[in-house]
Amino acid sequence: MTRPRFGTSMFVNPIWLKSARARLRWKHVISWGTVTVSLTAFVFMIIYMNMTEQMGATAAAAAKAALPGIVVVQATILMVLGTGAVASGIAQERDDRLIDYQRLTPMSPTSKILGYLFGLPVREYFLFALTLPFLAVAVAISGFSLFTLAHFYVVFFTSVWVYHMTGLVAGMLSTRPRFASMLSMGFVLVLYFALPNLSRIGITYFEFLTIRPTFFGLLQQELPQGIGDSAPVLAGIDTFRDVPFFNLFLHPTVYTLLVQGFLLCVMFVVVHRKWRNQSNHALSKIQALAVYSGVLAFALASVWPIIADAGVRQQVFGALERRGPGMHPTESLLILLLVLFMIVGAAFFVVILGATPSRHTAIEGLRRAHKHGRRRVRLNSDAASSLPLTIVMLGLTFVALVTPLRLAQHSGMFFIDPPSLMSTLSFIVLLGAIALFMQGFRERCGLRVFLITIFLLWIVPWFAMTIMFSAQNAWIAGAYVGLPCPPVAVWIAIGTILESATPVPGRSPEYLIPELVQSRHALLTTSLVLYGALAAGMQFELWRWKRRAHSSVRLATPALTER
Amino acid sequence: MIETKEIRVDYGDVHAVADLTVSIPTGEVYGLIGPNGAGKTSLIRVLATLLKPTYGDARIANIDVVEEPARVRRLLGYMPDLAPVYEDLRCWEFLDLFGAAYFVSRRERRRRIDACIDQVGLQSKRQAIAGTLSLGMKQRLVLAKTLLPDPEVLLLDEPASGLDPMARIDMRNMIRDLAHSGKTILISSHILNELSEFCGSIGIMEKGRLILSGRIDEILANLSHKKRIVVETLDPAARAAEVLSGLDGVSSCKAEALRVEFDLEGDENDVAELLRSLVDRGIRIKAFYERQQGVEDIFLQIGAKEVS
Repeated sequence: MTRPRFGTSMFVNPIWLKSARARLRWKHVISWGTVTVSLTAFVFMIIYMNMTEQMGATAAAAAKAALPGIVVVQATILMVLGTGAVASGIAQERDDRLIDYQRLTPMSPTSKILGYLFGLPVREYFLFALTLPFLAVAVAISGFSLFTLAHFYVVFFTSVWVYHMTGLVAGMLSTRPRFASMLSMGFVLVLYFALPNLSRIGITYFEFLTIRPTFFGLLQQELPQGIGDSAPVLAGIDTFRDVPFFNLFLHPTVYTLLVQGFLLCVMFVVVHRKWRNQSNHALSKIQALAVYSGVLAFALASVWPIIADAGVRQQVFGALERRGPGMHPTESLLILLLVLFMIVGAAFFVVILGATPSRHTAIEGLRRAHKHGRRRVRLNSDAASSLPLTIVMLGLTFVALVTPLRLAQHSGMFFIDPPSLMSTLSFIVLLGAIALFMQGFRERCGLRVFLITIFLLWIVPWFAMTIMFSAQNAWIAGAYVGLPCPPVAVWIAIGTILESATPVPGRSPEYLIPELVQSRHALLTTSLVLYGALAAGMQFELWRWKRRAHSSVRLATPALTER
Repeated sequence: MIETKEIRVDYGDVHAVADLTVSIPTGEVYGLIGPNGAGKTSLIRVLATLLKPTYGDARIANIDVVEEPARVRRLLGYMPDLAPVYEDLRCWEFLDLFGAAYFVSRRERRRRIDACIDQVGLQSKRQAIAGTLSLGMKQRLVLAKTLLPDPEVLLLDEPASGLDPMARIDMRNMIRDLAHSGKTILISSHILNELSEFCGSIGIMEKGRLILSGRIDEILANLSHKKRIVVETLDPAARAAEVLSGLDGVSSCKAEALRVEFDLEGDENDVAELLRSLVDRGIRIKAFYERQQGVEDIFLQIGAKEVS
């Protein structure tokens, strides 16, 4: 057996070659190629001809205007069709158990992942190549800067790989091909349309997971006047400027590559682990901690300059102010803290969900440990309790949430007096209690029961609260009903912290519904008692269960060394 | 060559394999028998490095399958039950994929693909799209893929499942040829008598446990001192059965149409004496022989039928 050299191996990568043979047969090439060439020609010609014939534009301006149309076709091919092909292709292989054959070959997991990443969407790459002549013609006629074009396509392709990797992750995690394809489409929609909206309030990094800033910044601003000067386009162009990152200002392309690189690395690790063993958790405990730290760092890096730098704050919230009546610094801080909490909370939730062992995994780990003469499961093992991880993550969370508060306090812009120690402590204890309850419940009861209970305990009270607020104006009763929902409890806690914030003229205190201001301390105390009791009860129950599991495993599993 | 020590595989509360210890020497063909759900596939998947055991040691060529799966995989050929194929690849492309994935050089690959296609009798289907093949042909194609890297150890999980009788005979012949080639083979099968033809040893699994393991001849010798005799008559066998049931040492007598089958406790002299008794009592005998007991007899005598 001879091992191919890595650098030359992509086009002889057997998995890539397999996909190329299967997906690029003549009948596919001719049918799909005809559709793609026709569509791209149509897009190019309708823009070019209309501009030259109807609008009297020069050939160069018309060709330049056709470029975004071609890019949209390319993006549809590679990002939408390509991602679907990757997700359904890998899930199909898993479903048919063909992936077992690949697992058994001596190729490295990295080669296999690259083979699938570039192989499964090989037809889409071919279709993309068919659009290039039109692009070349448009560039040749328009004299569009080749450097700008290359710059754009670097970001275009890193975005494509991020999406394809989401497809691969969806395919490795889900069990059914159709579901995998839908899951990856869902990922793409969330990444592309939902999360970028957070950039409007300063959480910029989701925007840079997409090609939108680069697309608007590099292509649209080079367009001839009169084309693409609508408000959304102008706003898009506006995002393509140096991105504040803590105290630095990064070039948007550098920032894009940084954010996308982080996400690509995380997804690569997930797929790599799943390749090695399908039953592995998506991330090990240490990897989960690293990913969580990364998310916190990016979130904090976005929030930091908004609080610390009045110019950046004006830049970010100025856009909001343009849309509505003037926004007071206290309001902007509340929004920022709530959004930061939502991101951190969502990341915490996902990491705990993924890194906590099921009961069966935990017992299997205990059996394995006992069999091999160890009293405990190794801390980084999938079977180990996620309690230590939760505690470390909580520590990081406190740092990430208290830092902007301290920063806001020192900036002199948001607070008259520093927030009271009690309100800050209450906030920290509340977060800790929610996290420990969540971790204990997930570990003790398993994923299905956990998710159903979370729905009943978190979402249903929120629904009830909303109805009571909107239909009955029952503000206080509604708030008590909604307290089991963590965002409501955290909202009350943040509101209490902001007691000493600069008042909003005429509307003080604006950060809570006015009817709740009088009851805020009682509400906070109730939420602390509720989550404190839930966390203590659940951790105690988990501890009791572990003791029972240890004894039953000890009795039922004689150690190898004892035999 | 293949060794497991107290292997356990759990799926939630179900123990698919429970503290199983087995040793298969180099060059041995070992048949794994048991009802559906006995844990055969789980054991094979552990050995194939596709499933992590809850605990226990499993080694192939003295390499730990859990600790060093990559090294073990170089020695292995694994064929799952209802072997899937890439439906949109041609047969030679399917084999070429795995030849390349096992780092077989291009020139050598071409030679080996031809040899494997010949070995499994798919010469006429070399250019066919795999999805158009019959189930039996797909099984052959997967067997060819399994043999392509010339593995030292073959793990064959129900290789003949779902095949029609003709395809099953072909598959049996191929495996018999492999058994003669000196490879270490672990094969699970439901078609018990076929295992007798090429297995030196067998293991019977029930509820995740190996309830019997060893060389077939030794197991047979230990299991029973009785001989299974078959008598074919020219007249209805009921008369012969009536005579036989009155003779010493005869048990489990079963008559059907012109054939009667029974157990006889005794040596060769007793067999000869019994034959003479039948002839003396006017039974017209067409054939009289001792039936060789096989894997099926062992399985039936052990009576393993419970699942995990």
